[in-house]
Amino acid sequence: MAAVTSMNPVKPASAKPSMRLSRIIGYGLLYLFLIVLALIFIFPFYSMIAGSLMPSSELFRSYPVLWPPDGPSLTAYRLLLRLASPAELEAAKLQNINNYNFLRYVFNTLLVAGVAVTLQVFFNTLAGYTFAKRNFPFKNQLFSVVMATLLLPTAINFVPFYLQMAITFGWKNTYLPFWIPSLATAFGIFMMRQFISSTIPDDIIDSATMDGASQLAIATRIVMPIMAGGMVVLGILTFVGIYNEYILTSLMIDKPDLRTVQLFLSNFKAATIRAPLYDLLFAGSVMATIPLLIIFFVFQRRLVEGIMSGAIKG
Amino acid sequence: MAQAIRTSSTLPQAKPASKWRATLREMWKHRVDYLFISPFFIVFAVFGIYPMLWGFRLSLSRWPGGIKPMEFIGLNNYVSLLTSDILLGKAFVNTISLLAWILPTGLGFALIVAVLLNARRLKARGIFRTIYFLPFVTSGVIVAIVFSQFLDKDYGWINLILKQLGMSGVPWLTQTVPAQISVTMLLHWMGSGTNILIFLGALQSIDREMYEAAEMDGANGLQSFFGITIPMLRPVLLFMIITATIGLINLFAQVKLLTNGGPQNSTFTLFMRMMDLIGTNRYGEGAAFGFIIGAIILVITFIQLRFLNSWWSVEGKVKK
Repeated sequence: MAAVTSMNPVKPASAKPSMRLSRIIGYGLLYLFLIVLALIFIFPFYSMIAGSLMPSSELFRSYPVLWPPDGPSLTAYRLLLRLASPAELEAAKLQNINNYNFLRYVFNTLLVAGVAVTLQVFFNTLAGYTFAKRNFPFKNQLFSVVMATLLLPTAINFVPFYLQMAITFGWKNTYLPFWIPSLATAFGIFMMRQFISSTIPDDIIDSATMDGASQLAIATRIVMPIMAGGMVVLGILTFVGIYNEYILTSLMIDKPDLRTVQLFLSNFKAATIRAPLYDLLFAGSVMATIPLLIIFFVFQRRLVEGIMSGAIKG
Repeated sequence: MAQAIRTSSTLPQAKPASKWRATLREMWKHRVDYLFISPFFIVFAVFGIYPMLWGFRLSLSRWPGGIKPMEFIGLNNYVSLLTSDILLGKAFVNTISLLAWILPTGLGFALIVAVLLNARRLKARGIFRTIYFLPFVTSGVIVAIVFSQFLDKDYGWINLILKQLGMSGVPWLTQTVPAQISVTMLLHWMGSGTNILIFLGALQSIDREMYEAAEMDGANGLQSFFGITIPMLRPVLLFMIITATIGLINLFAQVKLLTNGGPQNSTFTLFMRMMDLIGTNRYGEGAAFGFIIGAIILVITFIQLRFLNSWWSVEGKVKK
């Protein structure tokens, strides 16, 4: 830090060499710190991958095993994907593993999150555009209501909400609790409003209105294409949130075929609590994280900048 | 825009009765706008307000679900939760101490890293911030799985390394204080990246000229940090403190799978109590508990705002 802030242009020339040296040392320490930190952040991912490639017995040794001693093996993946040979099944003592359908759970999770994201991004962009660019009576009051709901804690109506889903609507063992109640969200509306009011000039919308374009046409043909970047950021935040959701899923879904990946992994961990089958748990975790990692790296720049741009902060 | 001008020029001359009519006409003209924002309000009314009102009635009743009618018992649910529910008290104390510990360390750490990442001549800034943000993609369930292997008493990574270094292992998940530290480490690992990014974004929006001016006036690095950086970060800090508080009160999956609230309920969370009440069909108490949590959040947020405000005004005086 000291080295970074002490670059003063009005210092006499004689001070320069030592200044440069201290700056080099400062930056050296800075890089060292940042790299060590990066390793700490990456290590759990690494250990998850390495652990999925070796029998879990390797993880129960008296010294740390960084890499499979007998070379990487995909047995855990084959067991989860029902591709294991009878010999492997025999060796793993997991005859009932074929009762699980891991790919199905991944598909379920993608379905829950995919539909939810599509609905939320569409309706939130529509509302965000309206609040950002349109003028109508009671606009500010209505927007204040939207913002005020952000402060309502989930817990406050959680039990009646659960009963409403499970009993009143009978939505247990459907994915509707993840789609309908969050069709449009205060967070999403706020975020899209911020994005839209800072990127779309009024002129474009005014001239489209002059040309007689309908509001829906302006929203879908002009605003949404320009806002694709912002919609992607909101979409990813929503997608990751629902893909990783656990509380509501664990209350709503108890049919094995409808399980999400998170529910499967948590059930599987609970079922093997005494001697955790880390190879399978890690292989499942790796496969569950892969879709999110792909999305993350494809849109990494946009996502990081979207969060940094301050659109999500009050 | 044109419409706004028209209304403002017609309204002042209009009489009160026709003013209402003008507003109504204006609203009718904007029916499409209302249609566009309506999904949120419909959904909020049906799935937000309605359950909340019904939940208030439920919180005054005894009702195990099913076809039995609700039995009105007044404030009994609230009284029994607040006076004789030991687990709730435990969860409350745990949450408060977790908050008191994790807010300063987590936000302080994220701020330090963001300041370092903001160093002017730093190369590869993008790579670092992406790596720190990577835990964002993991779920509470998966993080708990990975950390429970790390923290295993006999075979976990951390203890094996400690033993290699000649130290004795720590019973991370089976003793109260280490278990609380474990939960804290997990939350730091999961959440720091987003906080770093938000801080970094806020830091980059501060005008560099302010620092240069302060430097001209002879301020050193620390002085301009506390005199410029911290005050400029105020709105971001407020946002992060409030979201972190709400996040900790909703904490469930990570802890459920890592420690299951143990040992001796030392990591038991408020939401775990909520799920217990649902799991045992004690819906009346569950509904009351929801309102109690709501009140707790309200009080905590109020204290935080008061605290931050007074802290800031002290800062301001020191600066002068």
